Amino acid sequence: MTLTALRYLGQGAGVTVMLAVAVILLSSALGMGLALVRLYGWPPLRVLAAGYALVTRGVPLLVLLIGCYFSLPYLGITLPVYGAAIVVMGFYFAAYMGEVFRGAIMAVPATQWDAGRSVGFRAFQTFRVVILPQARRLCVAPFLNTALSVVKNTSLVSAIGGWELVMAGREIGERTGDLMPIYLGVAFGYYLICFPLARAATFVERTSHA
Amino acid sequence: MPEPLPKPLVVVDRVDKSFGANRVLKEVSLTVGKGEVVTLIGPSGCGKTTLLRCVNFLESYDSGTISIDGETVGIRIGANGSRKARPDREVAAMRARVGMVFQSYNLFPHLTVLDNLTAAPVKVRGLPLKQAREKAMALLERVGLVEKAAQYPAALSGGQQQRVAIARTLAMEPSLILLDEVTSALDPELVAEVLDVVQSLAADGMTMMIVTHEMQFAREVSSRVAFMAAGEILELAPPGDLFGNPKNDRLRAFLGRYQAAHRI
Amino acid sequence: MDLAFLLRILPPLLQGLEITVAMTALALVGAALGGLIVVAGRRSRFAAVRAVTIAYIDAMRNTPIMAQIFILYFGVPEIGLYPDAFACGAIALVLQNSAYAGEIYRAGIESVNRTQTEAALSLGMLPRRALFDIVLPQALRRVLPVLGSQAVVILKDSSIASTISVAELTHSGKLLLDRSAAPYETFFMVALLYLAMAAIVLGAMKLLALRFPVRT
Repeated sequence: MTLTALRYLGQGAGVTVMLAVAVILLSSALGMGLALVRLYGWPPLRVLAAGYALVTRGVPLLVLLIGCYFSLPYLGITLPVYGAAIVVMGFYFAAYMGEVFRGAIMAVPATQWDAGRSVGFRAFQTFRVVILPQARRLCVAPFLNTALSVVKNTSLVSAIGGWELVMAGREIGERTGDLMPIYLGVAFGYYLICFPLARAATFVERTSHA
Repeated sequence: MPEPLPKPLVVVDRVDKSFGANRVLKEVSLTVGKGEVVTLIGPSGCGKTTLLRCVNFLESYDSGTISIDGETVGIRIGANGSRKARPDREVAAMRARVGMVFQSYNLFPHLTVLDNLTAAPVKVRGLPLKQAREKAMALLERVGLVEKAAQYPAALSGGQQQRVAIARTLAMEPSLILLDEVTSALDPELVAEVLDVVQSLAADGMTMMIVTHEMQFAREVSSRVAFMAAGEILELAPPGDLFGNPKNDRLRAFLGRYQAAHRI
Repeated sequence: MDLAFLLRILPPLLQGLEITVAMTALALVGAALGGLIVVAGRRSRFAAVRAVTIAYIDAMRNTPIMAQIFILYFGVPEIGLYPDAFACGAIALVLQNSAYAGEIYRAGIESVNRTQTEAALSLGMLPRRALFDIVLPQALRRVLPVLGSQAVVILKDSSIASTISVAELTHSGKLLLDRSAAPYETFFMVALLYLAMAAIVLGAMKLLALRFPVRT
């Protein structure tokens, strides 16, 4: 494997990281909103939110990506590949992030609400000062695991023609025909990106089981 | 003329055990005769539960020997005094002859009461299921829980679960039963029903080693009581002597604290 | 939304669905069994076996299914074997999900209180007997919901085999899209079919959970 090939893969990995970061940010923001709606929102909205979560949990991301991306021209919208991918993946993972945040908030013992109210906090204050900080600690491990999933799923962007690590590998492969080491290199690239996330998640899981 | 000493069933000879840097048993020696009930009392952390768990090798011990009916527990002593661990098979076979009842009952939650009693006789001894069930029903009758046979442990009270646990050990026809704080996790009003069953076992001549906090019960059921503190047996005597005329200072302090706490 | 159109595209999509079901079922069984091997290796007495297993789990956890499928489909022919596309998809799914299943089994086993093992041992059961007859039944009941979610993941990941032209549901959808110029309806149907399959998988798991409840 030549140096240029490695550098090319490295660039692909860089794009993968940027895509992942964008998706994580978008899905976290949407997910937090989703969690709050499902926990404290107006009941009809809650039903909608639950339905949204159901759809994203049951339909493969690839199907959503292909479906949305190839539908757009017919609606007269032309979005760049990256933009479409980030939006679709952002909404897809928002459901997962929503579950992470909702689970963390629900995992804070109900007695903490009593504790907050009994010192005089109003409901919103109790949430902000007592519940949220504790939920923040509880959500780190599943958040990292979801982030890991985001990184791995950016590989699907290649299926709708976007250029990232897998696509970089395909291009080199088509040029040199040296497929096994190239794809092993691609896998290794993902391994390098994911490894710190996975280790961090395991570390948090282990230390929070006191 | 003193009664002839009962034939020794369990011989604990200078057993030492440490958990890391913490020495919990310091050259402890004790003999339990056939048909005897020996009770271990003492403050928390004195090693009484550890000693009990060494007898059926749920814990290994570092030096000294424990033997049941002449056979060393968990290890084999070579001709030159070397200690070799026994294979799983032999340890399991020994445990099948020794029953243990735990503080937290430890019934198998996914099996009915009846299946809890037949599991070991069928899987370990190879008893035919029909026979095992008949014996199990007889045992449930003995502990007064026949009507619960088809229920799951979760449906029973703590005292009932503990009585089933006792029946479960009896199903294996042990020659020795170890009871580790069997009433400590029970609500006070449920303690009596369990102690009654243990009393009836003693009356039938079952050899038992008991760890308990219930002094009154220890007094009533034991042949001899051992007071342990910091890994050593400080006094060993029949209950009348140990409770009525305690010689050891720490024992006196321990009993004094106990009586003060229970003077309600 | 043209209902006639939706009905017309259903037959070719159902052909793809057959392949999806076949690959998913194969992968479910493979991963369920593979997970047992993984958890055994993870809990082995031999440090070397544990190390190899942990490395394997790490590798599966940190690489996407697509990369694994590509390595199998494009890379393996270089050493003389020519697995067909379906096989590559199925093998990749099994390899990935055995690791996850193994970790799920492990979490279940470790969640069963140690005292259950002690009770079984003190009745004279051998350690292996205690594991299989007492701990494992309880462990599996506890992790049924998580296994159900993982099964749905396998179902969804089967769509990635479409990238190497396995004629499963997503691939059928893509072909129809090129031909019919109605991507919205086509993929709406595809999504509906996946949802139906996911619902069946989860329903089956719920039934299992009713038949084998956790009793504490």
